Amino acid sequence: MSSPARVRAVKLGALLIVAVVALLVPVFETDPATVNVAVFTAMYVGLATAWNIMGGYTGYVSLGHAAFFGFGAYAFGLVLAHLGIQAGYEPFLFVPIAGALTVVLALLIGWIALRTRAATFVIVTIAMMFMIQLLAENLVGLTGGGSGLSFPVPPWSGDFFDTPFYYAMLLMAAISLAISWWIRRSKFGLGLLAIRDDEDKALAVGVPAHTYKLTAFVISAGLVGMIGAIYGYYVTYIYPQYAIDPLVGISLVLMVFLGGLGTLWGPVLGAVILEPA
Amino acid sequence: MSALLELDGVTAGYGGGDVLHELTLSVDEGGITCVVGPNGAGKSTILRLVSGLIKPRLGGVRFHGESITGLTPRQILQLGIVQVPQERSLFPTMTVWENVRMGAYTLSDRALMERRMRTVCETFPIVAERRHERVAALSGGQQKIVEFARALMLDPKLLVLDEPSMGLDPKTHTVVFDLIRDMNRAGRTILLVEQNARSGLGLASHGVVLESGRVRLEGTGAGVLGNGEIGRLFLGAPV
Repeated sequence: MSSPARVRAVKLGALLIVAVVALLVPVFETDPATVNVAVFTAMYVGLATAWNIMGGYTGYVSLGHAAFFGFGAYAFGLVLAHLGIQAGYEPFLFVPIAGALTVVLALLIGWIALRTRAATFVIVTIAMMFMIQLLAENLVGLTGGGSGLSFPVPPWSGDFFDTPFYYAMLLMAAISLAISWWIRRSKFGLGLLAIRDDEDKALAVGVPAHTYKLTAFVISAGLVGMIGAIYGYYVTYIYPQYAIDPLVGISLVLMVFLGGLGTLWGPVLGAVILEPA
Repeated sequence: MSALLELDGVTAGYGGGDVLHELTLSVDEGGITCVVGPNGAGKSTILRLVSGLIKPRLGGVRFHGESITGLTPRQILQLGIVQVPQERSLFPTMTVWENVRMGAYTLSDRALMERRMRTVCETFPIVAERRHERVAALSGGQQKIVEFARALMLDPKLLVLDEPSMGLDPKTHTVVFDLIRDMNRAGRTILLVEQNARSGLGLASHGVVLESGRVRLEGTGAGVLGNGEIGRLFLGAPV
């Protein structure tokens, strides 16, 4: 076997082992506290990977992604309440709706925020996060304000309770990784990396920078919103400071920087190191 | 030889001030036209004008006999006028291969892009040899070669080179200028702006000396290079 083929085979083998181990965690580990840590680890793998699509590939550091996380949770809770969905497995089918609503919000915010660069963009995203938090606090009729929003409580027993959420988070992490992998290999991804290196040079060689940045921002936010939706259902009750928590946004950025900014596996490594710790 | 690019009575500059004054200049198809002159003569302004980064206040620019005055830089790029700027224009965190691919970013035909990639690799073997290395790890001369390779990805009709000798050691300088000659022999028309008059004019089929935004002298590269008066006036000493 030639050297590149051997490297590829080793990588595929390692990936397969990681995937099998990840899938078997709830089977071999029945302690709910441990599975709970696994749920949050899988959640942060997905969040950090999704954030990396924007922050890592384009170099635009958003510290406001917690807004999309919380918005996804609120949107999901309101959709379930509005449609009268009962607790159980069925709510998971509606997670993409929360993602789609988050995409609409991200389009509006990104269209404005991405007219700025560097530190200004960072500040705009932080400001945007606090605005969304304030709206969640003040739109009492819609969100419950400071009293919070309750989700239907899943009917599963204590020992099993975490397992469906673990697999849901794992699926979102896998989807985020697959999208990140595809982007990194695509012409679109090459354009994002060019923007990260030098946006003006990227424009000079024909990269439609604004459209690309907005697309990456929206994809990233949509994934974060879907993960937020699952989180909301998992904790069964959210309120503004808890769902739209700046620490969530900062943590996932920290994970990406620790593991490797702009790489495929860096966010995974960062999340696996930091979250259980 | 017919003119590929023509500047016809162009007056252009920045803000309120004109740098070029009723400048008329032509670049012959298949040749190397080299523009030399002292600092402030307007060499870089010609390149910015040709690339569409500035527009003339008076006069016009024609390419293949058609006016390109007022076109955007992207439209000019798509017509086949590709510039290799003086400063480093590569993407430092990307590999050699990715940087060269960026040259054909506006191409949507994948098969055509791969054909161009193969041609470029034949012309510049370093692209294939060091394809997985980040360009930041290459020397200045090697980066210049990658810049040439990237420029050829659009199969330009006119290659505009802005001071390619800048910052190169003598050995690399020879390699780079040999490559420019090779690209021209392969049928590429080249517009070269150079501070190093001896190198630039020595290579050129057509030499132009600028003074204060006007053509002071033009002729064959060797003819201009041999003009002692011009050497003393504009180039510091007889060249």
